[in-house]
Amino acid sequence: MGKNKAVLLVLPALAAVGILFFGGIFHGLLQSVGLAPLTGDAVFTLGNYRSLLFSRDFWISLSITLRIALLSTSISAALALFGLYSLFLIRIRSTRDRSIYFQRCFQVSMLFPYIVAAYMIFLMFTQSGWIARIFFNLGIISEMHSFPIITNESFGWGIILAYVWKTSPFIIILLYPVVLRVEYGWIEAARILGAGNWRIFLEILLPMMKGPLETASFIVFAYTFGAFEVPFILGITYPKTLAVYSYQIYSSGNLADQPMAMALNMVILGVILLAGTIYYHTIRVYNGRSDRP
Amino acid sequence: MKRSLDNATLVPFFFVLVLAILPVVFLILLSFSRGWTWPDIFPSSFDARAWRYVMSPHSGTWQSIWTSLKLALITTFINLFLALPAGNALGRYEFPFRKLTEILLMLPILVPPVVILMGLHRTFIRLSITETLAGVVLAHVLPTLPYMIRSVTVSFSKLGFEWEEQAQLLGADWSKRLFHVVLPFLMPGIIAGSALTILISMSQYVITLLVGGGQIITVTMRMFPYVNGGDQATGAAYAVLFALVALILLILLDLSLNRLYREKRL
Repeated sequence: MGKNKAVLLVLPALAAVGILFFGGIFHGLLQSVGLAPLTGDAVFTLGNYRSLLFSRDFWISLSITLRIALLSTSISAALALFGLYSLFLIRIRSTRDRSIYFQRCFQVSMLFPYIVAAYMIFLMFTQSGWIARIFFNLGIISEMHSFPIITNESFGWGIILAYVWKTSPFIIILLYPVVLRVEYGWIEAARILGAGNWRIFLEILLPMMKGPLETASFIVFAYTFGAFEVPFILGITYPKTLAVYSYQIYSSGNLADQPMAMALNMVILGVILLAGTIYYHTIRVYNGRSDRP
Repeated sequence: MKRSLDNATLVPFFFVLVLAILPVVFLILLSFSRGWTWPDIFPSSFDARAWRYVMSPHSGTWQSIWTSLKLALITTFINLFLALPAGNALGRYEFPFRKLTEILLMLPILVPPVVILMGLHRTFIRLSITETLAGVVLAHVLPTLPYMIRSVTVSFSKLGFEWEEQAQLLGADWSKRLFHVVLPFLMPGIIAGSALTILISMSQYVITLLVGGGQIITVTMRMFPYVNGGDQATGAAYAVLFALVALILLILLDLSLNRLYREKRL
């Protein structure tokens, strides 16, 4: 009886995700292979995928999107770990643990949308931006144009900075419970054995964080790989990231091009699926577990 | 050993804090700036021009805040309606394919919603729910529901069955069990899930544009032309206003729900 009841309880949520999420993927897939045309007969074709395969623009777009997502994820994870180290120091150094309040201070960026993160990075890092002004006044650069072009350039540094600002607090939230598990006794034992704070963090906390860190990094990678807003504001007309490329084809007004946008979307999904498989496989093979934070 | 927060301990913390907060300080300065030219680090003079415009009735800001609130709250209620039963099942029951069900329900976190909604767009048009609040609510449920399910599942797994059984043994009827046992356990999860739903829903730009067709104007939609190459001070004022609205909403949520369950517990 308990089993049937449980199935009934998850059914509404499963139906919602089924219709919205899997329905969206399925209908996108149908459109991308010509099986859901607006007018005329449905004819199965891989033409959209074939033209992507032979399009130089597509491969450039795929590679810059991949590079942006990988760099954003690694820099964000590194910064988050440093933030967690600072919280760890606060936790072990104070008698009453106040690290939770300090942790909240890191969450400021959660209050701002991605478009604002992109806007801030633009204003701060553009050639006449705040950072360039500070450098100029410190005498590090002698004129506006000596400041490197970081926003709206082809590498995507601005996009990466905006993603790091927005996503590192997310990683900190997911990993912070590990810091809370540290017992003061361990620290004292490690101290007696001659370990400093940094070594304690690297050798005790980091292994404990491995599982949640992999999960968090995977979520950040998937998000930064497919998101639209930040590269739309901080990117350039060519080359575009995949999501911007796809949305602009979709919304260009030419209905005949829409299946091509769907094909691009399927490629985005495919890469995320591939990354998911690698993630799942790594966890299974090397750790023999599949836990979550 | 002396255990206190000395300056050396706080150095790494302040380093990260500066990275987190400096851009916000800059935005606030910019929103009050007037004539801020190269190479000044601080604006030469301040005024409230951008704020006056943003707050004035003809800018449409108030209406857009109202639209954002409506969307966020309706989305939260739908999420609770779907997630509470699901979280109950996932957190406390064993059933076939439980793990798989949990993974399926989490998947929408991993895919940016615009990719999915482009595929659904024609269906939405056929159902005539584009350019309506209902359509945009559905669009916002997609990226937020997994967070709500995750939050309440954790709470349900902490609740288990024992507390309710004990209360029943002590003679508590269902309403007493619900208000004195179940809800206090679930409240942190409900608050966390609702907070995330509200933040994510309010932040959406491109899916609101796609499904709302430019007819559903949220704060994020209202600010977009300014942050994408428009007047800088106005864009900054909108950004700060957005964060304030979100912050007030989160504080109210925390206070009201926490008070609700503290009263019931008495």
